[in-house]
Amino acid sequence: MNKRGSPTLRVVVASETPEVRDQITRVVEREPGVRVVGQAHNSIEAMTKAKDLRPEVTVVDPYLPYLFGLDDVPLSRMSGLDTATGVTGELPGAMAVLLSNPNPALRERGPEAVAHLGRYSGDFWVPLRLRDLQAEANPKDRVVFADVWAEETQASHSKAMELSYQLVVWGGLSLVAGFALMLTWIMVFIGLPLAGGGLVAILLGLVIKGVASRFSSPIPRAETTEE
Amino acid sequence: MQLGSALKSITILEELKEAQFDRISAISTVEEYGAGDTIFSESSLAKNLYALQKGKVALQMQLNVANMLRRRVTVDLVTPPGVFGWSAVMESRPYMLGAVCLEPTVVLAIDGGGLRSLMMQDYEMGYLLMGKLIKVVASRLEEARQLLICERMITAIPEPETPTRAFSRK
Repeated sequence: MNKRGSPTLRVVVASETPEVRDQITRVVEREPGVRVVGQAHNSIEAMTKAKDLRPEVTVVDPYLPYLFGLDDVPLSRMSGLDTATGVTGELPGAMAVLLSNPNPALRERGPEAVAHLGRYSGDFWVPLRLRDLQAEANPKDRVVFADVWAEETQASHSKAMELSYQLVVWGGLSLVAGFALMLTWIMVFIGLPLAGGGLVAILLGLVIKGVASRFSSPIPRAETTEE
Repeated sequence: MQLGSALKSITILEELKEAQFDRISAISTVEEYGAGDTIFSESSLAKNLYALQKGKVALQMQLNVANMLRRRVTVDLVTPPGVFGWSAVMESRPYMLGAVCLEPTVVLAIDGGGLRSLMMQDYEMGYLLMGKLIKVVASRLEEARQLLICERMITAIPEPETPTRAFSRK
Protein backbone atom coordinates (compact mmCIF):
# COMPACT_ATOMS: atom_id res chain seq x y z
CA MET A 1 0.00 0.00 0.00
CA ASN A 2 1.22 3.52 -0.69
CA LYS A 3 0.51 6.75 1.20
CA ARG A 4 -2.79 7.28 -0.63
CA GLY A 5 -4.03 3.87 0.41
CA SER A 6 -4.01 2.33 -3.06
CA PRO A 7 -1.95 -0.81 -3.56
CA THR A 8 1.56 -0.32 -4.88
CA LEU A 9 1.95 -1.26 -8.50
CA ARG A 10 4.96 -3.55 -8.85
CA VAL A 11 6.79 -3.37 -12.16
CA VAL A 12 9.49 -5.32 -13.98
CA VAL A 13 11.35 -3.47 -16.76
CA ALA A 14 12.89 -5.41 -19.66
CA SER A 15 15.33 -3.94 -22.17
CA GLU A 16 18.70 -5.03 -23.49
CA THR A 17 20.21 -1.55 -22.98
CA PRO A 18 21.02 -0.59 -19.36
CA GLU A 19 20.47 3.15 -20.07
CA VAL A 20 17.02 2.45 -21.50
CA ARG A 21 16.13 0.23 -18.52
CA ASP A 22 17.17 3.01 -16.11
CA GLN A 23 15.26 5.64 -18.09
CA ILE A 24 12.11 3.53 -18.18
CA THR A 25 12.49 2.86 -14.45
CA ARG A 26 12.63 6.61 -13.79
CA VAL A 27 9.62 7.20 -16.07
CA VAL A 28 7.36 4.67 -14.36
CA GLU A 29 8.54 5.42 -10.82
CA ARG A 30 7.57 9.08 -11.25
CA GLU A 31 3.99 7.90 -11.00
CA PRO A 32 2.90 7.76 -7.33
CA GLY A 33 2.48 4.24 -5.99
CA VAL A 34 4.61 2.56 -8.64
CA ARG A 35 7.77 0.66 -7.76
CA VAL A 36 10.15 -1.15 -10.08
CA VAL A 37 10.98 -4.47 -8.41
CA GLY A 38 13.21 -5.92 -11.12
CA GLN A 39 15.03 -5.35 -14.37
CA ALA A 40 15.78 -7.84 -17.13
CA HIS A 41 18.11 -7.68 -20.12
CA ASN A 42 16.61 -10.46 -22.22
CA SER A 43 13.41 -12.40 -22.71
CA ILE A 44 14.44 -15.40 -20.62
CA GLU A 45 15.39 -13.18 -17.67
CA ALA A 46 12.17 -11.16 -18.04
CA MET A 47 10.04 -14.31 -17.96
CA THR A 48 11.97 -15.70 -14.98
CA LYS A 49 11.72 -12.43 -13.02
CA ALA A 50 8.04 -12.11 -13.85
CA LYS A 51 7.37 -15.63 -12.51
CA ASP A 52 9.50 -15.08 -9.39
CA LEU A 53 8.49 -11.52 -8.51
CA ARG A 54 4.88 -11.67 -9.79
CA PRO A 55 4.67 -7.99 -10.83
CA GLU A 56 1.35 -6.44 -11.82
CA VAL A 57 3.02 -4.81 -14.84
CA THR A 58 5.96 -5.74 -17.07
CA VAL A 59 7.26 -2.96 -19.33
CA VAL A 60 8.98 -4.40 -22.39
CA ASP A 61 11.26 -2.98 -25.09
CA PRO A 62 10.13 -4.42 -28.47
CA TYR A 63 13.74 -5.07 -29.53
CA LEU A 64 14.39 -7.40 -26.62
CA PRO A 65 16.66 -10.33 -27.51
CA TYR A 66 15.55 -13.85 -26.63
CA LEU A 67 18.89 -14.58 -24.98
CA PHE A 68 21.46 -12.25 -26.53
CA GLY A 69 21.42 -9.60 -29.24
CA LEU A 70 23.82 -10.06 -32.12
CA ASP A 71 25.21 -7.12 -34.06
CA ASP A 72 24.14 -7.08 -37.72
CA VAL A 73 21.48 -9.74 -37.09
CA PRO A 74 18.21 -7.85 -36.55
CA LEU A 75 16.37 -11.16 -36.12
CA SER A 76 18.19 -11.68 -32.83
CA ARG A 77 16.31 -8.76 -31.26
CA MET A 78 12.62 -9.43 -31.77
CA SER A 79 11.35 -11.08 -28.63
CA GLY A 80 9.55 -8.04 -27.19
CA LEU A 81 6.07 -9.08 -28.29
CA ASP A 82 6.68 -12.73 -27.37
CA THR A 83 7.83 -11.70 -23.89
CA ALA A 84 4.79 -9.46 -23.41
CA THR A 85 2.33 -12.16 -24.49
CA GLY A 86 4.33 -14.80 -22.60
CA VAL A 87 4.17 -12.85 -19.32
CA THR A 88 0.45 -12.21 -19.59
CA GLY A 89 -0.12 -15.83 -20.57
CA GLU A 90 1.85 -17.16 -17.60
CA LEU A 91 0.60 -14.72 -14.97
CA PRO A 92 -3.18 -14.37 -14.82
CA GLY A 93 -4.20 -10.75 -14.25
CA ALA A 94 -0.74 -9.35 -15.04
CA MET A 95 -0.38 -6.70 -17.70
CA ALA A 96 2.47 -6.12 -20.15
CA VAL A 97 3.25 -2.74 -21.70
CA LEU A 98 5.06 -3.05 -25.02
CA LEU A 99 6.84 0.20 -25.84
CA SER A 100 7.20 1.23 -29.45
CA ASN A 101 10.95 1.46 -29.91
CA PRO A 102 11.99 3.63 -26.93
CA ASN A 103 15.70 3.51 -27.78
CA PRO A 104 15.94 6.36 -30.35
CA ALA A 105 13.72 8.68 -28.27
CA LEU A 106 15.81 8.15 -25.16
CA ARG A 107 19.23 7.97 -26.81
CA GLU A 108 18.68 11.14 -28.84
CA ARG A 109 18.04 13.25 -25.76
CA GLY A 110 20.64 11.64 -23.50
CA PRO A 111 20.41 9.92 -20.12
CA GLU A 112 19.49 13.10 -18.22
CA ALA A 113 16.40 13.74 -20.37
CA VAL A 114 13.03 13.66 -18.64
CA ALA A 115 10.96 11.03 -20.42
CA HIS A 116 7.22 10.41 -20.35
CA LEU A 117 4.95 7.48 -20.97
CA GLY A 118 2.02 8.02 -23.30
CA ARG A 119 0.83 7.62 -26.82
CA TYR A 120 0.71 9.68 -29.99
CA SER A 121 -2.76 10.48 -31.23
CA GLY A 122 -2.02 11.83 -34.70
CA ASP A 123 0.55 14.54 -34.09
CA PHE A 124 -0.46 15.07 -30.48
CA TRP A 125 1.16 13.50 -27.48
CA VAL A 126 -1.26 12.07 -24.92
CA PRO A 127 0.48 11.39 -21.57
CA LEU A 128 -0.66 8.20 -19.85
CA ARG A 129 0.07 6.64 -16.50
CA LEU A 130 0.53 2.92 -15.93
CA ARG A 131 -2.81 2.87 -14.11
CA ASP A 132 -4.49 4.43 -17.19
CA LEU A 133 -2.98 1.70 -19.35
CA GLN A 134 -4.05 -0.90 -16.81
CA ALA A 135 -7.63 0.35 -17.05
CA GLU A 136 -7.70 0.09 -20.82
CA ALA A 137 -6.03 -3.34 -21.04
CA ASN A 138 -8.07 -5.98 -22.80
CA PRO A 139 -9.03 -8.57 -20.13
CA LYS A 140 -8.29 -11.32 -22.67
CA ASP A 141 -4.66 -10.74 -23.63
CA ARG A 142 -3.70 -7.77 -21.36
CA VAL A 143 -0.93 -6.53 -23.63
CA VAL A 144 -1.07 -2.77 -24.20
CA PHE A 145 1.05 -0.63 -26.49
CA ALA A 146 2.56 2.70 -25.47
CA ASP A 147 5.26 5.15 -26.52
CA VAL A 148 8.02 6.97 -24.70
CA TRP A 149 8.71 10.61 -25.38
CA ALA A 150 11.75 12.44 -24.03
CA GLU A 151 11.76 16.16 -23.25
CA GLU A 152 14.43 18.38 -24.68
CA THR A 153 17.16 18.78 -22.05
CA GLN A 154 19.15 21.91 -21.26
CA ALA A 155 22.23 20.22 -22.73
CA SER A 156 20.53 19.29 -26.00
CA HIS A 157 18.93 22.76 -26.13
CA SER A 158 22.27 24.54 -25.68
CA LYS A 159 23.82 22.16 -28.22
CA ALA A 160 21.10 23.12 -30.70
CA MET A 161 21.69 26.80 -29.92
CA GLU A 162 25.43 26.43 -30.45
CA LEU A 163 24.81 24.64 -33.72
CA SER A 164 22.44 27.34 -34.91
CA TYR A 165 24.96 30.07 -33.91
CA GLN A 166 27.71 28.28 -35.83
CA LEU A 167 25.41 27.93 -38.82
CA VAL A 168 24.65 31.66 -38.76
CA VAL A 169 28.36 32.61 -38.49
CA TRP A 170 29.49 30.23 -41.22
CA GLY A 171 26.54 31.20 -43.38
CA GLY A 172 27.51 34.90 -43.03
CA LEU A 173 31.14 34.17 -43.88
CA SER A 174 30.08 32.15 -46.92
CA LEU A 175 27.85 35.01 -48.02
CA VAL A 176 30.72 37.56 -47.76
CA ALA A 177 33.12 35.20 -49.55
CA GLY A 178 30.55 34.65 -52.27
CA PHE A 179 30.11 38.39 -52.77
CA ALA A 180 33.91 38.88 -52.89
CA LEU A 181 34.20 36.18 -55.52
CA MET A 182 31.37 37.69 -57.52
CA LEU A 183 33.04 41.11 -57.31
CA THR A 184 36.37 39.65 -58.44
CA TRP A 185 34.64 38.02 -61.36
CA ILE A 186 32.96 41.29 -62.31
CA MET A 187 36.29 43.13 -61.99
CA VAL A 188 37.92 40.59 -64.23
CA PHE A 189 35.23 41.17 -66.79
CA ILE A 190 35.69 44.96 -66.69
CA GLY A 191 39.49 44.91 -66.28
CA LEU A 192 40.29 42.52 -69.14
CA PRO A 193 38.70 44.63 -71.96
CA LEU A 194 40.18 47.78 -70.41
CA ALA A 195 43.69 46.33 -70.33
CA GLY A 196 43.21 44.96 -73.83
CA GLY A 197 42.08 48.37 -75.05
CA GLY A 198 45.11 50.03 -73.43
CA LEU A 199 47.45 47.55 -75.07
CA VAL A 200 45.88 48.20 -78.47
CA ALA A 201 46.19 51.96 -77.90
CA ILE A 202 49.90 51.60 -77.01
CA LEU A 203 50.57 49.49 -80.07
CA LEU A 204 48.63 51.90 -82.27
CA GLY A 205 50.59 54.81 -80.82
CA LEU A 206 53.90 53.06 -81.51
CA VAL A 207 52.86 52.27 -85.08
CA ILE A 208 51.77 55.83 -85.74
CA LYS A 209 54.99 57.11 -84.25
CA GLY A 210 57.02 54.83 -86.52
CA VAL A 211 55.11 55.82 -89.61
CA ALA A 212 55.38 59.51 -88.77
CA SER A 213 59.13 59.35 -88.15
CA ARG A 214 59.66 57.61 -91.50
CA PHE A 215 57.65 59.88 -93.78
CA SER A 216 58.03 63.28 -92.20
CA SER A 217 61.01 65.61 -92.98
CA PRO A 218 63.60 65.92 -90.27
CA ILE A 219 63.25 68.89 -88.03
CA PRO A 220 66.02 71.31 -88.79
CA ARG A 221 68.39 71.92 -85.97
CA ALA A 222 69.02 75.40 -84.84
CA GLU A 223 72.43 76.43 -86.12
CA THR A 224 74.90 77.71 -83.68
CA THR A 225 77.44 80.29 -84.58
CA GLU A 226 80.82 79.94 -83.27
CA GLU A 227 82.64 82.98 -82.79
CA MET B 1 -1.32 8.87 -48.35
CA GLN B 2 -1.15 9.08 -52.15
CA LEU B 3 -1.53 5.63 -53.66
CA GLY B 4 0.69 6.40 -56.66
CA SER B 5 3.64 7.70 -54.65
CA ALA B 6 3.19 4.90 -52.13
CA LEU B 7 3.38 2.31 -54.91
CA LYS B 8 6.54 3.85 -56.32
CA SER B 9 8.22 3.63 -52.91
CA ILE B 10 7.84 -0.17 -52.87
CA THR B 11 11.18 -1.75 -53.67
CA ILE B 12 9.74 -4.77 -55.51
CA LEU B 13 7.89 -2.45 -57.91
CA GLU B 14 10.67 0.04 -58.54
CA GLU B 15 11.58 -1.10 -62.09
CA LEU B 16 8.03 -1.16 -63.44
CA LYS B 17 6.78 1.12 -66.21
CA GLU B 18 4.12 3.79 -65.72
CA ALA B 19 1.36 1.72 -67.38
CA GLN B 20 2.23 -1.27 -65.17
CA PHE B 21 2.06 0.96 -62.06
CA ASP B 22 -1.40 2.11 -63.12
CA ARG B 23 -2.62 -1.48 -63.45
CA ILE B 24 -1.25 -2.37 -60.00
CA SER B 25 -2.68 0.76 -58.39
CA ALA B 26 -6.15 -0.34 -59.62
CA ILE B 27 -5.90 -3.45 -57.41
CA SER B 28 -4.26 -1.75 -54.39
CA THR B 29 -5.61 -0.04 -51.30
CA VAL B 30 -4.03 1.83 -48.40
CA GLU B 31 -4.91 0.32 -45.02
CA GLU B 32 -4.25 1.71 -41.54
CA TYR B 33 -3.94 -0.30 -38.34
CA GLY B 34 -3.40 0.52 -34.69
CA ALA B 35 -0.75 -0.94 -32.38
CA GLY B 36 -1.70 -4.50 -31.47
CA ASP B 37 -4.00 -5.02 -34.48
CA THR B 38 -3.68 -8.23 -36.45
CA ILE B 39 -3.33 -7.65 -40.20
CA PHE B 40 -3.76 -11.33 -40.98
CA SER B 41 -3.65 -14.57 -39.04
CA GLU B 42 -1.55 -17.60 -39.67
CA SER B 43 -3.33 -20.24 -41.80
CA SER B 44 -5.97 -17.79 -43.06
CA LEU B 45 -6.31 -17.67 -46.85
CA ALA B 46 -3.68 -15.35 -48.29
CA LYS B 47 -5.53 -12.54 -50.05
CA ASN B 48 -3.14 -9.60 -50.15
CA LEU B 49 0.52 -8.87 -50.55
CA TYR B 50 1.45 -6.07 -48.14
CA ALA B 51 4.05 -3.35 -48.46
CA LEU B 52 4.80 -1.54 -45.21
CA GLN B 53 4.72 2.24 -45.50
CA LYS B 54 4.86 3.25 -41.84
CA GLY B 55 5.14 1.45 -38.51
CA LYS B 56 6.45 -1.94 -37.50
CA VAL B 57 4.97 -5.40 -37.98
CA ALA B 58 5.84 -8.64 -36.19
CA LEU B 59 5.45 -11.84 -38.18
CA GLN B 60 4.49 -14.64 -35.83
CA MET B 61 4.17 -18.38 -35.96
CA GLN B 62 2.12 -20.61 -33.68
CA LEU B 63 4.31 -22.92 -31.64
CA ASN B 64 2.80 -26.24 -30.56
CA VAL B 65 4.99 -28.50 -28.51
CA ALA B 66 3.02 -31.66 -27.70
CA ASN B 67 -0.06 -29.52 -26.96
CA MET B 68 1.68 -28.32 -23.81
CA LEU B 69 3.42 -25.16 -24.94
CA ARG B 70 1.06 -23.23 -27.15
CA ARG B 71 2.51 -19.85 -27.91
CA ARG B 72 3.01 -17.50 -30.83
CA VAL B 73 6.64 -16.83 -31.58
CA THR B 74 7.93 -13.82 -33.54
CA VAL B 75 10.05 -14.99 -36.44
CA ASP B 76 10.58 -11.66 -38.19
CA LEU B 77 10.11 -7.94 -37.72
CA VAL B 78 9.18 -5.90 -40.78
CA THR B 79 10.07 -2.22 -41.01
CA PRO B 80 9.46 0.15 -43.99
CA PRO B 81 9.83 -0.44 -46.92
CA GLY B 82 9.49 -4.16 -46.20
CA VAL B 83 7.11 -6.50 -48.01
CA PHE B 84 5.25 -9.36 -46.34
CA GLY B 85 2.38 -11.74 -47.01
CA TRP B 86 4.01 -13.00 -50.20
CA SER B 87 2.01 -16.25 -49.95
CA ALA B 88 -0.78 -14.23 -51.61
CA VAL B 89 1.18 -14.23 -54.86
CA MET B 90 1.10 -18.05 -54.88
CA GLU B 91 -1.99 -19.94 -55.99
CA SER B 92 -4.66 -20.14 -53.20
CA ARG B 93 -2.30 -20.59 -50.30
CA PRO B 94 -2.80 -19.83 -46.61
CA TYR B 95 -0.50 -17.36 -44.91
CA MET B 96 2.41 -19.19 -43.32
CA LEU B 97 2.75 -16.54 -40.59
CA GLY B 98 0.51 -14.10 -38.77
CA ALA B 99 1.16 -10.33 -38.87
CA VAL B 100 0.69 -8.14 -35.77
CA CYS B 101 1.29 -4.38 -35.69
CA LEU B 102 3.66 -3.18 -32.97
CA GLU B 103 3.03 0.50 -33.76
CA PRO B 104 0.36 2.48 -35.62
CA THR B 105 0.88 1.11 -39.09
CA VAL B 106 0.12 2.06 -42.70
CA VAL B 107 0.32 -0.67 -45.35
CA LEU B 108 -0.38 -0.88 -49.01
CA ALA B 109 -2.45 -3.98 -49.70
CA ILE B 110 -2.13 -5.40 -53.22
CA ASP B 111 -4.77 -7.95 -54.15
CA GLY B 112 -2.92 -11.25 -54.63
CA GLY B 113 -5.38 -12.76 -57.16
CA GLY B 114 -5.39 -9.55 -59.20
CA LEU B 115 -1.59 -9.42 -59.14
CA ARG B 116 -1.38 -13.03 -60.33
CA SER B 117 -3.71 -12.20 -63.24
CA LEU B 118 -1.61 -9.15 -64.16
CA MET B 119 1.55 -11.24 -64.05
CA MET B 120 -0.04 -13.80 -66.36
CA GLN B 121 -1.10 -11.09 -68.82
CA ASP B 122 2.23 -9.27 -68.75
CA TYR B 123 5.09 -11.78 -68.63
CA GLU B 124 7.74 -9.08 -68.42
CA MET B 125 6.15 -7.64 -65.28
CA GLY B 126 5.59 -11.16 -63.92
CA TYR B 127 9.27 -12.00 -64.41
CA LEU B 128 10.41 -8.78 -62.74
CA LEU B 129 8.08 -9.16 -59.75
CA MET B 130 8.91 -12.83 -59.24
CA GLY B 131 12.62 -12.00 -59.27
CA LYS B 132 12.10 -9.28 -56.65
CA LEU B 133 9.92 -11.51 -54.48
CA ILE B 134 12.55 -14.24 -54.57
CA LYS B 135 15.03 -11.65 -53.29
CA VAL B 136 12.67 -10.86 -50.37
CA VAL B 137 12.37 -14.54 -49.49
CA ALA B 138 16.11 -15.10 -49.93
CA SER B 139 16.99 -12.19 -47.63
CA ARG B 140 14.70 -13.63 -44.93
CA LEU B 141 16.35 -17.00 -45.33
CA GLU B 142 19.80 -15.41 -45.17
CA GLU B 143 18.98 -13.58 -41.92
CA ALA B 144 17.60 -16.77 -40.40
CA ARG B 145 20.78 -18.60 -41.40
CA GLN B 146 22.95 -15.85 -39.91
CA LEU B 147 21.07 -16.06 -36.64
CA LEU B 148 21.33 -19.83 -36.59
CA ILE B 149 25.07 -19.75 -37.29
CA CYS B 150 25.75 -17.04 -34.70
CA GLU B 151 23.75 -18.85 -32.04
CA ARG B 152 25.48 -22.15 -32.78
CA MET B 153 28.88 -20.47 -32.71
CA ILE B 154 28.16 -18.89 -29.34
CA THR B 155 26.87 -22.11 -27.83
CA ALA B 156 29.89 -23.97 -29.27
CA ILE B 157 32.43 -21.71 -27.52
CA PRO B 158 33.94 -23.88 -24.77
CA GLU B 159 33.89 -22.75 -21.19
CA PRO B 160 37.29 -21.37 -20.09
CA GLU B 161 39.19 -24.15 -18.42
CA THR B 162 40.52 -23.68 -14.93
CA PRO B 163 44.32 -23.44 -15.14
CA THR B 164 45.94 -26.63 -14.00
CA ARG B 165 49.50 -26.85 -12.81
CA ALA B 166 51.42 -29.13 -15.12
CA PHE B 167 54.33 -29.65 -12.82
CA SER B 168 54.17 -29.59 -9.14
CA ARG B 169 57.11 -28.98 -6.92
CA LYS B 170 57.64 -31.53 -4.35
